[in-house]
Amino acid sequence: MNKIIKKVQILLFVTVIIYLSGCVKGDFDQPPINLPTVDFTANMTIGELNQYYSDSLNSASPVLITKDIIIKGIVVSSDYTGNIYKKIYIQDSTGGMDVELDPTPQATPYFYNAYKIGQRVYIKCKDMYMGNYGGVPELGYLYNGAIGRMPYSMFSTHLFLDSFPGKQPTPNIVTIPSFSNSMISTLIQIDSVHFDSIEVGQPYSLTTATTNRTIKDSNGNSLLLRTSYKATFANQLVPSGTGNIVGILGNFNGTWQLYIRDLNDVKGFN
Amino acid sequence: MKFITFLFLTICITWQSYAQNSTVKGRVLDNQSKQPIPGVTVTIQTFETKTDANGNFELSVLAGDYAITFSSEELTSYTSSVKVTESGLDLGDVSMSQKSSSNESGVAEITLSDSDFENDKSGQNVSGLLHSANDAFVNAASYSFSAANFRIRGYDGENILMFMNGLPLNDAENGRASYSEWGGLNNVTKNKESQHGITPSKFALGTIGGETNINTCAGQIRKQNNFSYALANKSYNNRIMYTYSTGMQENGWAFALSGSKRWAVNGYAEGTWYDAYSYFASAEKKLSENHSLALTFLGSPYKRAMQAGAIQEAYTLTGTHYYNPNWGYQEGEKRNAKIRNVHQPSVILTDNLKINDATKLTTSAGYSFGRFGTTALNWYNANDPRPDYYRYFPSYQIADTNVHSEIPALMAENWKNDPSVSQINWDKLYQVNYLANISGQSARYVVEEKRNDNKQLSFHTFLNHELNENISLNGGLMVLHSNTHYFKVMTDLLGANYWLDVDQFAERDFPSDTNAMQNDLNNPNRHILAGNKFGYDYNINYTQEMLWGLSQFRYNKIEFYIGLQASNSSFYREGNMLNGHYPTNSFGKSEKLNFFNYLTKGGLTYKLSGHHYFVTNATYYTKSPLPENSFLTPRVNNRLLTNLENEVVFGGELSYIYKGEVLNARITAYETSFNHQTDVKSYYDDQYHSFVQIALQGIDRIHQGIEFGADIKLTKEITATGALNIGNYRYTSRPTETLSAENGSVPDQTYKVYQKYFYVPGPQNAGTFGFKYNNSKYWFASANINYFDKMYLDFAASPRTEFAMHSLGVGPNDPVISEVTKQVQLDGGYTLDLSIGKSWKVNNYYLGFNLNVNNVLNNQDLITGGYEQLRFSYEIYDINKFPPKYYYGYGRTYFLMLTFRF
Repeated sequence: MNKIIKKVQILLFVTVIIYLSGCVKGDFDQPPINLPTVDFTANMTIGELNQYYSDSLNSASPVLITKDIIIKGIVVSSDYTGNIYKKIYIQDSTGGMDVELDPTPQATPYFYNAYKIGQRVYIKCKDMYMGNYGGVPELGYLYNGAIGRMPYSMFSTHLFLDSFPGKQPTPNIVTIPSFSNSMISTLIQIDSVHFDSIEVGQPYSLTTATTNRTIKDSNGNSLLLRTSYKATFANQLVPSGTGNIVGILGNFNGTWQLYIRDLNDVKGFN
Repeated sequence: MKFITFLFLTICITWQSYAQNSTVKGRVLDNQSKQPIPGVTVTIQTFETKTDANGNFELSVLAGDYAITFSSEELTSYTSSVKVTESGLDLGDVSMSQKSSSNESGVAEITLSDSDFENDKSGQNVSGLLHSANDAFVNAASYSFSAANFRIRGYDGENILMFMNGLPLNDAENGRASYSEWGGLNNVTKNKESQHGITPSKFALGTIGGETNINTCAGQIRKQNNFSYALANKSYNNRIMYTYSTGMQENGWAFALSGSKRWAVNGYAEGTWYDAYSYFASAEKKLSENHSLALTFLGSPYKRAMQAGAIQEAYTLTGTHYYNPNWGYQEGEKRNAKIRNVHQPSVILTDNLKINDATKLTTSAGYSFGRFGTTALNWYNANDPRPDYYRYFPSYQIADTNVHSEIPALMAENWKNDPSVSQINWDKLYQVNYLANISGQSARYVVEEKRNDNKQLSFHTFLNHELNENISLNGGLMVLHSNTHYFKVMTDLLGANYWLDVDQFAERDFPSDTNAMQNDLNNPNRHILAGNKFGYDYNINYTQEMLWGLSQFRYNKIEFYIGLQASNSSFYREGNMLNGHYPTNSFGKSEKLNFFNYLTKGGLTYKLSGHHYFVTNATYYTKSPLPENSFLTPRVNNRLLTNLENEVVFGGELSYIYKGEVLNARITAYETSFNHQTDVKSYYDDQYHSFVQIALQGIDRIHQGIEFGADIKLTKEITATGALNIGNYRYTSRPTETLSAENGSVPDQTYKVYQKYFYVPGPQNAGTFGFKYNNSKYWFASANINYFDKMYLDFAASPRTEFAMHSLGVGPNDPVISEVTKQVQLDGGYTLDLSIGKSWKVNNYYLGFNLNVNNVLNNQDLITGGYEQLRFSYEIYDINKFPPKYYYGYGRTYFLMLTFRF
């Protein structure tokens, strides 16, 4: 009898040990790196889209895009410093587009995590809105009846990454007098310019409000450099001397403006 | 002070007694196996003893008519009338039956393990820690009331003291005892001694909520070979448990071994799982008739995926009250971000010495050590990965009237249908990290583990001496040293190359100060890999010395006692990182705090007869603030709360007890006032980009109420049981709130909090009524209906300040004020519990089963807890912006256990 008990005991211990050897999932594998691809093609260039909806430029209210329009472009902006905020700029060989995006998830947007400079994106424009702000075409959604940012919840059905970010796009080197509407929202470079002497040594932006600084070329042509007070480099000082400046070209009711992405866009001064 | 002097004088007076005591003795046997049962509590009047290793007991009482009660956690309590003559009484063998497969053990264990919620303060259920087989109210409170997080008299866990072989189990830093430290060891932790309320014990004076001592010495564990399997649908689905113990053998050795595994691949709430083990080994050697030595080693390692409370909108959108924001899919598999991983082994050496017939000395020394960790997602310059972040809800968009109405509707659709929206999107987090790798950036998303690893050394020696037939003297010396190491460790980089160890919030607020953003100036800009410590790193060292004494006086009609205790607590913080914000006060030791405290207790019992008792107890004591509540921002510096002071507690209770063969009942009125309490909580404030600590000081509260419990033996087989608590627990002061941002982006702010007469959270009224059936064929069944009411939500301090009122910008008597400040009352509710069990004897083998079904009617609408979010939007008051988070009690659950013994 005792022997039987001993055997039963051993059996129980073995059973226990077998059970003890796990059954709940432990560590997770690392998922593979997904190469983003799209299974459709663009059917319109950015230039054509701007042309197609040029009437929206003259209209106060935004226009709903009802056609199955797909555009593609390369991201040329970054919100890393916060100077460019709640939007991305994309461009192709025909023009650029200001795509207004609502980062609702976060007070501070981090589009640069997903939409890096050099990233090719496709946009399915149907059900989005085209409108203008100060004369600049914007692609987005309705907000208070005007053109506004496309809500986060629509991103997954309208914005598509294609491949990994490519090399940094080269800015188009232009001069101030040669600015044209087709350059709006594209990445440009202006060589041999200097800051207005009154503003040299001043911060890029005051702490309370977005600030304009004036850039001049040797012929006295000028352009506003507009910097958000929220930019991480806002309190850095405007340099003296002459150099080259890269940025996204904008316009507000006829006044040309330039937005830099970070201080690396201000090259060669001193 | 006069009162204390009086107590001292009382001790010194020796009382003479002329009455002659008679001895009542006997032996307790299991009626199935006929084996003696050790550790059974035998009670006559207020005299109490436990059966020894051979089941024998002896009690001295005056001649007369009494009710004698036998009780233990594993046996069906048994009360009988006895007539004790002057020549004494020998009851011979008393047979007791096992509770059908210990039906309630599973309930207590499971309910306690259900505190899977992040917010431990509100999630921790203490009622199941209670034990008193002899008290109808406590029995009901620990099993039937646990469904709604009922707390005895509304007390916090720190007022329910747990001991193991005389050593304290309550955590030195947060005051709470954690059931999980001995979870899964049901068979070997049944041997308990306990008192409810203010009544002191022979092993400790206790405080106001009662004290329980678990005796794990192998000689006190009944001889058994016990294998059980349980199937359940709560936080775990399966449990296997095996216990082998020899009882005290003739060679003077006793051994006990126990092990168990509890697990669930999918727990009750979605995305939770459970993976727990436990082990126990105890050896006891009888060195002589009067001296034994026991060594116990035990541990309950567990890992479990946790559940979190959510706002009502999330429950409504997902259509379930068990929505859990902690998990999401990774390549089609569910992954939970909050994993608790704990392993805290203890070793205890216990010496039991009977110096003579009247004097017993118990000495224990113990060491426990291990890990306590909880994982969480962290992120750097990236979107909040938690699906229930407030901006992800449709309500956030609805609040903005400029947003086109299609948008919130679209978001609601996504919440309902797309788990990548309503849950964590792990695959996306990886892809974002991969993109960061391409551009050489640090991780955007990681999983980190917050660790509070505790080491504790404790020592307690206490003496129980019967001075004469009437007077017993008890006293002890306890020394405790604890060191808790707080730090973060990187668990999973989620495919990224490294994590940068800087304070990203400081980085944003102080962009030009590269030192300020360093978490550790001694190792700036460190690249953290999996397994590295980072973020914060400090220790809290705590030492306590305590001396206590208790004199008990027992006479024919009255009994009384007085107890005194003095203790000294000291603690300090030691920082192991030099924080960039606080280079002068983050690294090294803080000021050492020292608190002297004392406790007094007194009680009187009037014995009207062998059946009627009137008992009153009172206590007045001071208590050191807990280390957890003493530092303003301990993760980053040594700063202490100013004006730290001892808490003062004054409590009293008055009971009438009836003990009879048919009826057992107790009714108690109680009142306790707590003064000068301190509480520190923390939360992340995205307005300040910082963790913010909220320290409340000068919290006063009063807990008053009536407790009633009764069981009535209707027939030999059927017993009716009932218990009721009517409570009134209110805050009675306006404490001072200090807000401190860890990153120093705003100076400390101090406000007065208008919370006077607010209710202490949790159910204040609870009742249960039921029937138990036991027959001689070892069938067992019970049914209970439970009721909970007067439940209030835990509230945040910030909206109840003058500053908040100003910020609202509304005039006096504006209705919005009461909307913001009034405390939320939760709906009460009912649950129904049923259980059935039976055991069989086949030769010398015993087979048993029991099935418990809790909440049979599947009431899924009972909110059992929750809290208001500590963040308050001052600028624009919007009631929907930071709504409270709730937890719902489980619906219908079952626990089926099969036991095999030989």
